[in-house]
Amino acid sequence: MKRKKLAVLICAVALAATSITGCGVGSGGDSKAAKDIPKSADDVDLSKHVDISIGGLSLGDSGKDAWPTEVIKAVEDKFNCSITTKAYDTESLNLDLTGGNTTDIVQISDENIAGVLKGGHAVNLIDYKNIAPNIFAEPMEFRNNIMQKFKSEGEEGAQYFVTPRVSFENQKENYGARLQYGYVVRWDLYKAIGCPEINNDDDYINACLKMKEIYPKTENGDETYAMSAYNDSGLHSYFFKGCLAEGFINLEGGLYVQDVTTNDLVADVYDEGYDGTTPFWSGVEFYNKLYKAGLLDPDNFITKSEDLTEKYTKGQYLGGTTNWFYSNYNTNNAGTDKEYIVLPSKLGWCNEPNRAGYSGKYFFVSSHSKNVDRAVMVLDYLQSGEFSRMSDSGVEGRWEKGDDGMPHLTKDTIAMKTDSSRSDEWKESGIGDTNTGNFTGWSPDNVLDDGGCVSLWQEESVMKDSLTAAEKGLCEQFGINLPSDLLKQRIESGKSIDQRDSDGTIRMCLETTPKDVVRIDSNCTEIVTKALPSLVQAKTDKEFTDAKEALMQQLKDANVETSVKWWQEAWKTSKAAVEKLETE
Amino acid sequence: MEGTTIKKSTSRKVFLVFDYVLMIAIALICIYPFWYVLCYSFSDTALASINSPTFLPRGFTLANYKEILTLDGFFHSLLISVLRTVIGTAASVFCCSFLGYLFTKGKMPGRKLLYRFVIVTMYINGGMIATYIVMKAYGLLNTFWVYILPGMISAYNMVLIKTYIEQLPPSLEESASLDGAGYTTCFFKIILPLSKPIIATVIVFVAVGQWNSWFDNHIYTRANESLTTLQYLLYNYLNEAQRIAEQLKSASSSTDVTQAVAAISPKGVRMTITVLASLPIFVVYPFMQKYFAKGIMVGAVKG
Amino acid sequence: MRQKTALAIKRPKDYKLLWMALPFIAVVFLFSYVPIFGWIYAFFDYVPGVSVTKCDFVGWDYFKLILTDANVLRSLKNTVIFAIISICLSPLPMLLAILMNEIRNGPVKKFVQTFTTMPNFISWVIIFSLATALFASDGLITGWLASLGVGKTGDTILASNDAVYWFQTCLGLWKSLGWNSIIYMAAISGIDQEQYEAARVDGAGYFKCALHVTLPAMMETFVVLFILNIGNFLNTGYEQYMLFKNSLTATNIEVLDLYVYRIGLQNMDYSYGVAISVVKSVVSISLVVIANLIAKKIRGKTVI
Repeated sequence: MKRKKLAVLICAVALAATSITGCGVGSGGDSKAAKDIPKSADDVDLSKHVDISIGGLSLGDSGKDAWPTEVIKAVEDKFNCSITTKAYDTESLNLDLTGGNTTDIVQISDENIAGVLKGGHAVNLIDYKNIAPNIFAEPMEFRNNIMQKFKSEGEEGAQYFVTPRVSFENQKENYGARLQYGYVVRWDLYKAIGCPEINNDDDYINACLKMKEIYPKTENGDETYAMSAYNDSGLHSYFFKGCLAEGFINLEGGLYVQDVTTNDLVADVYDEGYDGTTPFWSGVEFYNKLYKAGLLDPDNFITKSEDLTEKYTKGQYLGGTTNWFYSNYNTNNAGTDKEYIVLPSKLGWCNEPNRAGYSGKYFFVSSHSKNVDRAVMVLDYLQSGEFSRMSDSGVEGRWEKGDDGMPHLTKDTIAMKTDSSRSDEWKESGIGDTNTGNFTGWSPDNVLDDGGCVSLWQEESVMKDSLTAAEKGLCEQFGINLPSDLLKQRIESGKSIDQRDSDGTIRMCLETTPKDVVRIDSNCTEIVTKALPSLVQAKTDKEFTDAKEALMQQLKDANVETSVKWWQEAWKTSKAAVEKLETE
Repeated sequence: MEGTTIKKSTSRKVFLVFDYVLMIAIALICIYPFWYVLCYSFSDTALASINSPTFLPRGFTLANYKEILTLDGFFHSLLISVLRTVIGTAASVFCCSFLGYLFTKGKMPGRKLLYRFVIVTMYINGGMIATYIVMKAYGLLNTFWVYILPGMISAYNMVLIKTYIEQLPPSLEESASLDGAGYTTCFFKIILPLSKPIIATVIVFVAVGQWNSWFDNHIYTRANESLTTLQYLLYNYLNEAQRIAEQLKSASSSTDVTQAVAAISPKGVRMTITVLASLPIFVVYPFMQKYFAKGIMVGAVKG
Repeated sequence: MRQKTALAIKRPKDYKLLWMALPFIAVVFLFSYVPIFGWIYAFFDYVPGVSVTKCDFVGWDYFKLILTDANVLRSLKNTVIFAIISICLSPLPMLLAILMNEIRNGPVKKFVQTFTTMPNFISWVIIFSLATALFASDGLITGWLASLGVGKTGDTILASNDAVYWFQTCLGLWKSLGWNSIIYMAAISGIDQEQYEAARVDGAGYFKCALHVTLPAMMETFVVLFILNIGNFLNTGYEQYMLFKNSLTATNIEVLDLYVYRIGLQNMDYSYGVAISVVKSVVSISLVVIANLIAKKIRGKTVI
């Protein structure tokens, strides 16, 4: 009796399983019959109001305080639709793909491409060429070629994705008003020690020592340190510091880096056979020097971003590498000399030509969408110069044509940004909204037909208005217009470089990393993370070399060489393919 | 009860002093962090991050609460949360206790097999994607019932109740069934009143679980805004702050940093959320405690 | 009670009971068993968003991978250590309930009872930031211990690999002790007062009452939960360990669940994650079966 029941049960489970797996998954996807595709934008019936949702791994939820913004409203009016945005995370994206109920427009990253294409979740944009003039505009050709050749799983004549922030040939050089990454110092302290020139890590450590001498404790009696690593971003604190000092751009995870000038791929941690210092080792040596000089936070291995923000707010750090953590402090001390500023390092993190747009952010129109035509038109418009200008500089009226025939921001717009009593109005204007910025097609530095850049905030006079008291002090001290001029000068004199010669396209066109290499890399990252304390806290050079040797051996045992080989091969292939594309 | 039947010996007194001190010490260790959270939630964010509140808030403010109470759809999501807590708890407590009661009956054919069939569910799950597909097949996506039905029978709670009922003197029920009362009548008239302590416990467990859950909202009903629960609303709010912070780190981002960071105060918000999340226990638990303040009197039920 | 079971066997079966239970069993089947079809993903190179029929079949490859994956072994070792500690500590909630029950002052009892459950509501993220405030090298307790001469200034327990097992256990205990004792408070309330009176008539003092009446009454609940928890010992969750993991504690803190989390979300190795969870389920169920058999040997009847 019991046996029988069990058997029946198992049968039922099996039955249910097969029936459910059969349906419900990965439906849709067959490309639309040709007759359904509108021949021109006029063919599309816009009379019906529809909802268009845009979801993405890098996007946020709309419906927060000021949505739709002026900018979004302009798009809604143009296409008679309501636009909402949605934040996806890996889990919810996977589920929505599984259920075939994603948003109308979706933004994914490299890892999801195979699933989206294999599952038939994206529409082929080339079928909709007639209603997508901006996507297929002439300056986008290079980007489109890349998408067609490398991001369509080898399918001929198909393009499923578009990228945001594509930069064109006419892109204007732009250093920004201030630097984001480099050598951070507290301006009052740096001035007090006589603004010594900082050319390398050693100069910087000396400066930190001097600053610590005159400011050993905060006003509240807390010990001060030069800085601490942030431990919630993997190895980032180390290799990123090294990238700035040595002139590299990191690939995600930081086990591999790209030389900014030669565009070669370099194995970052496993530096066997590389002469010169790779970013990771440069960064680790830097932290080790800080440690030996007594400048490193003793909680270097346990602090996370949130703790770092807190310690910066307390004024416990004298320096740093990035501008991510001290804005609370600067706000609290606005108008005084006590703010943090960034001085240039060897590599200036700017002027990278994203000829194929940002990598890791791919937008597609869902084949499950109820309004594919409308979604394509909206996505297309987001890719236009007109929309990009709106996204960065506001709708027309927020900027206007000046006497010189060029577009300029109005005085009111500039005043609004810094006036905290008008913050609601500022949010409603949608200018520079991060969410919108994530799906804006053009790079802020591209030049539009009217002669102005996409972002009008980068005019020198506008940037000058945005300087803080400390930054003004800095400019006065060095006789420059903007803090970023320090970097500009160093680049002109050959002491520094920026990213203009680097080619991000190679990174974008790499083939998907096979599973076993992903596993090796993830293991290696673990191994390296565990080795950090013995490296950073090495008291002598001998200790350091021993720790390094031990680490290299461990990596070797974890098959790091298989990974290095795969990456070098893949890089070579990708580089050759990109070069071929360019000569064609 | 402090009857004269037993004299309080010296060792008893020593024990009592020890017991009181230990219990109060444990309670204090448990309170302090919560007090800290409470103080933080009332503290001015800027001041709190310079010097964490130790015993009193730094710069008393209701800003954090105001921020949360004025979130779009706060009251609607509160309603949904209350609804799912009330309905979900009622459904689950009924199912678990009735099933638990049935499983105490030796006369049930295949009782052991079925009992184990339920218990095994504690250790297996098909994974998120498969469960999602199943919910979709049942048509439960974006419906309120997806909050109630999947959790209706919790093996753990069912076992707790069954174990408790088994300990009740069987004679009680036997006399009732001799009177011709059916299983259902026995359950409601005799078993349920005697099981108040365990039912109260399970109510607390389920209610707290329902009140605090947001993940089912995240994966099954995110497309239906009218079903947003309070916890999910708060989760999203917190997540947004973290997402912006994360985005600042992506190397290619051209975000205006100062503007974005100004919008973030995750820590104060998180503390406030914690206070809100634990409110129901203050409401429900002391009320439930009266059901296990005193032992039951079987004799009283016997009448 | 044993007598009751014996009686039951002789009695004829009542099919009405089966029909009454069936709707509930159906719910269990629909929501807990049907989704098990997801286990087939372990046999494919599953890509979320793609129908299984379009994915490559890989057979037992992922299960074989488990056996050769050094990380599984290492994280398993940590999991087992945490599990053994927690099994040893499992009587604590019961003890707390007895001690709380001895408090006869109503308000004090209510106070203790309510507030010991509070930590259960504080999320791990907040516990982590609290722990940082208290135990970092400049934290309150670190400084306090240093001034007492225990430990050095600047030494933080958060960065100690050796302290991982007991420190994490203490945190977990703090969070869950009061909450877990609720169930035993209920069990105590379920004791027939007549039993106490009978014991007192026999001349038992408070201690003997606790030993001979209270404890046995809780034992049944304890044994059942104990056996259920043995099956759960691989399910430690990952949140706590993920938060407290840093480059110094990484070796000892990574438990199996944390590793699975890493596989699934960071490596996007969905099928491998499913394979591990299938093995975990099989192990869990086997352990419960074994524990149940042992209980039968010792107590003469099965618990489950």
